[in-house]
Order: sequence, then C-alpha cells, then structure tokens
Amino acid sequence: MVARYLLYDKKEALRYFRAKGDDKQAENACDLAYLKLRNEVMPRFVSTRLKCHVIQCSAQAKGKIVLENGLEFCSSNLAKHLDGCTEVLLFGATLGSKFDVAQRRIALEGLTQGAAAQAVGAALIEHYCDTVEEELKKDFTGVSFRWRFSPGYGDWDLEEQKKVFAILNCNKIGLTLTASGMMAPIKSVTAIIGIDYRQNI
Amino acid sequence: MAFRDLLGKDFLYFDGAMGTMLQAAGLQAGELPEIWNIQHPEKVQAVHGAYLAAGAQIIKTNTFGANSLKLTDTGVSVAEVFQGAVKNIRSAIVQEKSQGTIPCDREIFVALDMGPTGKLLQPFGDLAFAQAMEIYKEEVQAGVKAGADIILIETMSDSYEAKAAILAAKENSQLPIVCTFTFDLSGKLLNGADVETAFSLAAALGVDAVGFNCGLGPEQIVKLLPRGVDSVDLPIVVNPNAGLPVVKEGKTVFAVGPEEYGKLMSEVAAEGAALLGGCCGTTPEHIKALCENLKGHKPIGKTTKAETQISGYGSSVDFVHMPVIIGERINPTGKPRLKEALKAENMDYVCNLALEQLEKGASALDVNVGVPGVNEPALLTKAVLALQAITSVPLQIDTSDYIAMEQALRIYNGRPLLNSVNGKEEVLEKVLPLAKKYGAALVGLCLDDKGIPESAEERLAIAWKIIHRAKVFGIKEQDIFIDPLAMTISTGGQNAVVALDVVKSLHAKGIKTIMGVSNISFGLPARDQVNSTFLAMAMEQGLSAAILNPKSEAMLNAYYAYGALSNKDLGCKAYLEHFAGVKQEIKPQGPEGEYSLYEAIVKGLTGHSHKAVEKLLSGGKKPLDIINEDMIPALNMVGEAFEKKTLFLPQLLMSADAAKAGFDVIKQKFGPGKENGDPIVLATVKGDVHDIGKNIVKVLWENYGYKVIDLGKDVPPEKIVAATLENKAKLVGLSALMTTTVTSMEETIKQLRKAVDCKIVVGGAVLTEDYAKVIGADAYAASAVASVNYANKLFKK
Repeated sequence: MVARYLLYDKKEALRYFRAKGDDKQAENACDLAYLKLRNEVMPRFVSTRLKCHVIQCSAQAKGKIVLENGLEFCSSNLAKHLDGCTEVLLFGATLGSKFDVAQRRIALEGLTQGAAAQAVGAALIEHYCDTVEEELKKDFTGVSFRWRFSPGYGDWDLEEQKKVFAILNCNKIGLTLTASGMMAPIKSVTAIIGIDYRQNI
Repeated sequence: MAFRDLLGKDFLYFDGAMGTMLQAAGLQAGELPEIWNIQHPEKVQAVHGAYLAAGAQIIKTNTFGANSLKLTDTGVSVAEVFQGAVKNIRSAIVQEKSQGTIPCDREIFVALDMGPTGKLLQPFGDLAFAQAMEIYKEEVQAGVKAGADIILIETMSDSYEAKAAILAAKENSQLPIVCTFTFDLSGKLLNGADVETAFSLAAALGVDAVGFNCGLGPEQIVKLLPRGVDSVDLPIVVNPNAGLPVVKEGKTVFAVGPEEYGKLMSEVAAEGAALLGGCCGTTPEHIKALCENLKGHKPIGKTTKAETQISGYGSSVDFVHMPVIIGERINPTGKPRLKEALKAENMDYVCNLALEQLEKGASALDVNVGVPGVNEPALLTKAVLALQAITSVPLQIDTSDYIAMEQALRIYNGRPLLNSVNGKEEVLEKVLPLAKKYGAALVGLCLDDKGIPESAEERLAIAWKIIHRAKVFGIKEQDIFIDPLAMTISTGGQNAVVALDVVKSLHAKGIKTIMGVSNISFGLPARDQVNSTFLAMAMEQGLSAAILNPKSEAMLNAYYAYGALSNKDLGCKAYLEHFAGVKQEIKPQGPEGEYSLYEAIVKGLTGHSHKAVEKLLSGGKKPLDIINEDMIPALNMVGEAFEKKTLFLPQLLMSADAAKAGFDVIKQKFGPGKENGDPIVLATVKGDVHDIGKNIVKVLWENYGYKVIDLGKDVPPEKIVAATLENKAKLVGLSALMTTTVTSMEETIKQLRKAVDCKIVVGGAVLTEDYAKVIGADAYAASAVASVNYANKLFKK
C-alpha cells in the first residue's frame, strides 16, 4: 500500500514541538514546515502476522513473547501489555529517505524551522502508523487489539529492534537498521499489535 | 557465442523465483536460502534443473543475499556460498543435458547474482559508499573465481547502491554486467529516482543490459517499459513478479498463473524487452509459458537514440528543449566569505548557497572548492556529499586537481557533469579515462598547450580533437559539452563573435555547448545588460547549458523571454510561471512596525532583529556594545523565562534564530571576529545522527560569544579528542539520544579523560543527572539554556 497524501495533525505536531497554550508563531512554523514536507513523503509499510505465546515475568526472568518461529521478544512490560493475546501483527513503516533529505534542507533555514520540521515529521509518521493499523485490522471481526508497542518503550530494549528486522522484510520498503540500532530512514516506526481472540473479557 | 554478441539479436530467457521454490522444498521462515547451496545442494540443483528444462538460458546463482553483512554469524563465507552456488548450476546443466531435457548445444549462462546489501548508503543510512563497494567486491571476486559467466545486479531500489555494485563489478572482472531495478507503480525507486535516471546512470557506468525486476507484475512493468527503452541504447531486461502481491489471511500471494503470465510477457516483448524471465511468485511453468509464447519471434529493434542526461540522486536533467541553467556561485574566486567558509569546512554555508540558487531557478549546480592551501580532494568530496544530502539536482564537478576529480566522481550519487577536459595532451590522458569510468558527461575547453586560440577555426580544431580522442576512450559525442571560452569583450571586440561562431558551428554538427556567460562582460559597467543579451544570442546559436548567477534577474529574464520567443518553451509555460504568476513565496509572516533589537530577540522576530542591528550599526554603535548591551540581556531574559516555564521551546528557538541573524549582520560587516571567544568542542556521538538539540546549544553558545567547534553528528571519539587538543578547548559538549548510542558517549569520555584536561557537559533525552555521573561527565544539561548557564559559570561570564 502506498498512501498518496498524508494528513498532518497540528495538535500532535505542536506537542512534539513542545509548544504550550495558544502559540500562533509555533503554529505558523509548523504549517510552513508541513507545506514544504508533504510532497516529500513516500510512505510505505510492511507487515506480518504470527502466532505467539506470552510468558509473564517471574522472580527469575523478564517476561517475554515467544513467536511461532521460536523468536523471543524479552520485555516484562510488553508481556503484561499483550496478556491474553495469542497472535500478533508486526509492522514496519517509514516516510522514506526523501523526507530525511527535505528535513535536512529545512534545518539549514534555522533552528525554529528545523525543529518544526522534526515535529511535523513525528506527527506525520505517527498518523501514517494509525492508517497502517486501520488497514491491518480491517479484516478482523470479534477480536480486540492492544495499542501498538515499539522497541524502546518501557523495558523492551532498543537492542531488540534487530529481532524485529529479522522477521519483517523491511528491506522491501527501504527500511534498514544502522550499526548503532537506529533506523534509516529516520522517520520510521516498527511496532507490535497484540490480537486477543477471547470473547466476553 | 559470447553473451554480449547475443544481446538484442535473440530473446534471452532468465529463470524465475528461487526463494518460493525452496520454501516449497522445506525452507523455514528466517532460514537463509543461500546456505542451502552448501547444506542441501541437491534441492537447489533440482530447482535449477526445473528452470533449465522450462527453457531458461540465464540461471541466477542462489546468492541474492550472500554478502558479508548478511552472512555474519552463519559460519559460512561468501566465497564458499558462491563456490557452491555456481557448482550447483553447472551440475544441473550437466544433468539436464545428459538426460536430454535440453539440447546439448544450448548455451547456458551462469549469472553471478547480487542483491541489495540490506543497508542504506550514507547520508541516508550508515553504510559508507567505499564499504558498499568492498562488500560487492568480495561477492564479485567469489563469483568470478567460482566460474560465473555474467554478473547480475538485481532488485536495486537505490541507484547509489547500484553504482557501488556496478563499479565493484567493473573493477574486479571483465564479465558482462546486467543491472535490474525495482520500481513502484509510478516508476520510482525507493530512493526516489525515476526510470530514466536509474537506467541512464547504469548505462553510463557501462553495463551491458539494464531493466526491471520485482516489485511489479508484467502488466505494471509494460506501462513503464517505453520510458526505459527510450532512456538508454541498451537491451532491456524484464523479470516481473507473478503479478502484484495480494495479502490473503496474513500471507502474501502472487495471483498471475503461468498461462496468463506467458501472454502478458508477449506484450512485454512487443514493447521492446530483449531479456525476459521472472521474479517472486514465478515457477518453471511460468518460464515455460513465457518461452513458448515467444518461440519463433525476435526482439524488436530500437530506432530512436537515447538523450544525454545528468542526474543527482533522484532526478535527472536533459538538454533537449531549453538550455540548462547551471548555478555558478559555489566558486571561491572573488568570494572572500566563501573562501573563509571553505577553509573552515563550513558545509552549511555551501549548502545555503546551493539552496539560494535552486530557489532562483538553477537546474544544476557547479561545485568548485579550489582555495589555495586546502586539501582539495577531501574538501571537494565533503562538499559533494554535503550537497547531495540536501538536494537531488545534478552537480557539475569543477576542479583541475586530478585526485580531487577522481574522489568526487567516485562517491558522486548519480551522473555528474565534469568540468573539465581540454586540448592539452596531459589533461586528455588524465581526465578522459575518469569521465568514462564514472559515467560523467564532460565539458571540453577550447584551449591547449599553446593557450587559447584567437580564431573560431582554431578553437573548433581543438574541440574536434577532444571529441575524437574521447571516442577512443568510449565516450559518446553526445555526452560532451564544448566550452568555446567566452572572453571579455573589454579586451577584444571580436570575443563574443568568435565564441558564438564556435557554438553555431558545433550546434550544426549536433555537438552540445556550454559557457560561463558572465565572463563576456568583465571590466564593463552594467554587466547584467551585456550578459543577458549575450545569453540570448548564445541560446539562439544553440547553446545547451549556461553557467551563470541565478540571482541575476536580467539573465533569467532573458532566458525565459528567449524560451518563449523561440517556441522552445511550449505555450510560454515557463515564461508565464516566471513572470505572470505571483510566486507563492512561502515566508514566515512577521508583524509590522519597528522593534528594538532587545524586543526582536525576545519576541523571536528574525527579520526585525536583522533591521535593528543594521540600524544600530549605522547609528555608530560598536558591535561589542550591541552584543553586550542588547543581545546578551535579551538572551538571558529568554533563558530565564524558559527555565521558569513561562516561555517554551518554540520561543527559545525563535529567539536563538533572531539573535543569530543579528550576529550574521555583524559578521558580514566586520568579519568573523569571534576568534578570541573561549573554544568549546561540540558533537553528537558516534552512531547517532540526532542533532537538533545539539544545534540549539551551538547557536546559543555562539550567541553568547563562545567559539564553537561543531564536529557534527556520528563523530568517533578519536575525532573529538583530536579537536579538543587542537583547539585547546576547556569544555566539550556531547549529545546522544538513544540507549544504544550512549555507550559511544561513555567511550568518548574515557578517551577524553586520558588525553586532555577539560570539562565535559552532556545532554540528550536518554540521559539523566545520575547517568551522567555514572559515565563520568562533569555536568548534565537538561536543556540548551542549562548548557549556556554551565558554560557561563565555567568561563566566569
């Protein structure tokens, strides 16, 4: 799926920009950044669906999610979050390299524009993830989902990003992992969504 | 018969998908198919055999991901995998021939298959171009040693990576090279390059065939095929997926069956493909259908010739309709501020010069960093990388230093214009091979060992000498731009006439021309008037490209007016856009009225702070007084309010920007002058490229008068230590934003402690006061303002 036009949630962007109250200057900066950035997005996602087995934490060990192919995600917070889930959706999403180039270009204009572009970028990728989630969830009925959880949240170490990349075919959308564990392109997200098939909970 | 001789004469059939066939034979999710060459050779051979029996003549080695990055932790080497892979194909060929499923005299070509590295190249990711080349070099050498017949570079979704692979192939073998790319529905690679840009780059680098694979099915590729065919004079490859992927119950399936595939591929052949096969989802049945449908047919020939294009990473420019405007301003001659910036390796300054010119309408940019005393190879490379990180337009690499030339050409992303070669023997011998190897289009100057000749005839003689010699090196006539050398009319009345005669004569023979237009008026008043008319005259004689200052309104006006008058600008479209349209200048709106410098900074009004400083300076106030009496108090006020949380990040940034703008005015009038500020070294540590926070600190520190040595991002510890020692800095600021990069920070601090006596302040969202202590920092700055306060306390300001 390739989205044509990504919408921009101004409130979200202002939040990332750490603007407070009714800040017209900050709004203006974000609007300007959005106008320059919206044609630079090449949003893409890749996803997979796997059965899983959730093991809560104990005195001896961190909680973990064991996937059907044997891969394990180690995190007590994640295990708690996915309690009751027997399947997970995993996805990787990115706004593309062109977007990074545009952000760098805008950063040359000044600190304000650079930071505003960052904030707008963060809002755009989060919004894109929302649309990806909708797309992935649309064929399901009678289940409940957990909100998306990414490596780096809580005690799910960022180091485990490697594992996510081992299962998802991220290369297909030009999404890669650098040696230091950062994603490239920069405006990218990977996440896990738990599927709970239990009725009447 | 040799592969190259067969190309285009008869259809050549590739095999189909390997991965899905191996999955059917038991390959598990997450298991590397390449390892099966060694662990289950018979299963791999069986797949090869099936494709051979179906009619495939080019069999790809099962080595798509067999590079050193992907094979770490497998215990298997690249060489072993390629050895096994080629052996498996050879065995399969022997098997099929002995069984009689394929004729004994059928020629089969073993294709050394290389896919993407899995990493993005710098600056988009962290893989250095040189490293990418090393990775591909290892694969090429392994494949050649194992006995491959041709090289296939496939599923390229980044033209820069394709360049690394093609160069590695060229440098390490003599085998024919085929390169195929993966495009989306709109004909774009993941890195943004379109069909024309990708194909013409591959062709310029010397591949033998180019084409499409993966991503799309035959129906989608056939729509893009004409663009591919038109863009290069090479045979075209089409290896589609068996249709577009469809997700059914969480699994990806490809819906086009063999019979339909065969029919669709006939259409692909009719549109001009000469090599055909399949990718994801295809099976031996698909290939069989393909071969049967095309039996008895021959590839259609191509009648049109591809046009010359130059490109950056994502987009290309041709010279077919209007002449191309090349911005000339990144050239230190006569520009003291640029000289200073280049000496200081201030790439932001260079990038801003680029953006200014692009805004005014340049389609390409000249890059010249020839300042006496600098390390030109390193600096030119740095400039090219910095520019290509912020713009996709083609660059003209402008240097006479052969080492700088080679280094810049090598890492350039796309097809550059190279300025220049001329009629001197030494220069011809040195420059022509470089232009050929790196696929550059080439500017040739009409001068030789005897100097610049007076007459048009003599200049033309040099031009033709260059063109003919270039042909010897394999450089096409169409890729050469002759510069007749427009000398100023103030020293020779005939100079314009001579230059224009050369242009006219060459144009009549279909040769492209280029000129630095403004030279013509050197020494005269009202230069723009002469330049703009000369430009129109040259365009009328057929000039292909003009190197000029895009900020010159007169020249641009002449350019667009000529376009309209000559009907080269169809429907006066560009003209109307340039003149009649109220250009939507996206600029921040500021309030009206006059503001004092203090107010302008506190309110974050950059335009007004500019004006206010100019007013104060013209009123006779000294710069140091302006800084101490107006700017610093304003910044202090903003900093305090930020700490008290009555003012927030956006305002802090706007104030910092406004203060910086004020400083820039002072710098412009009085020179840098911050040489006596206390030096502070600043960097985002190795592995981390987040730098907004660091840049805020930088600007604030500079506003307060410190001399900031900003090393940028992803900086190794050694570099930080070296800079601290070199600049005798007493304070070092380090930034890291991720749990995984904070370890680099720790290492940097360790190394600094060993080497130098200084204070270290750290910042970044992942850090805390406690953690900063643990890793050995002197201070933790929770905000940019905190870093200013710390520095001020330390240096007692």
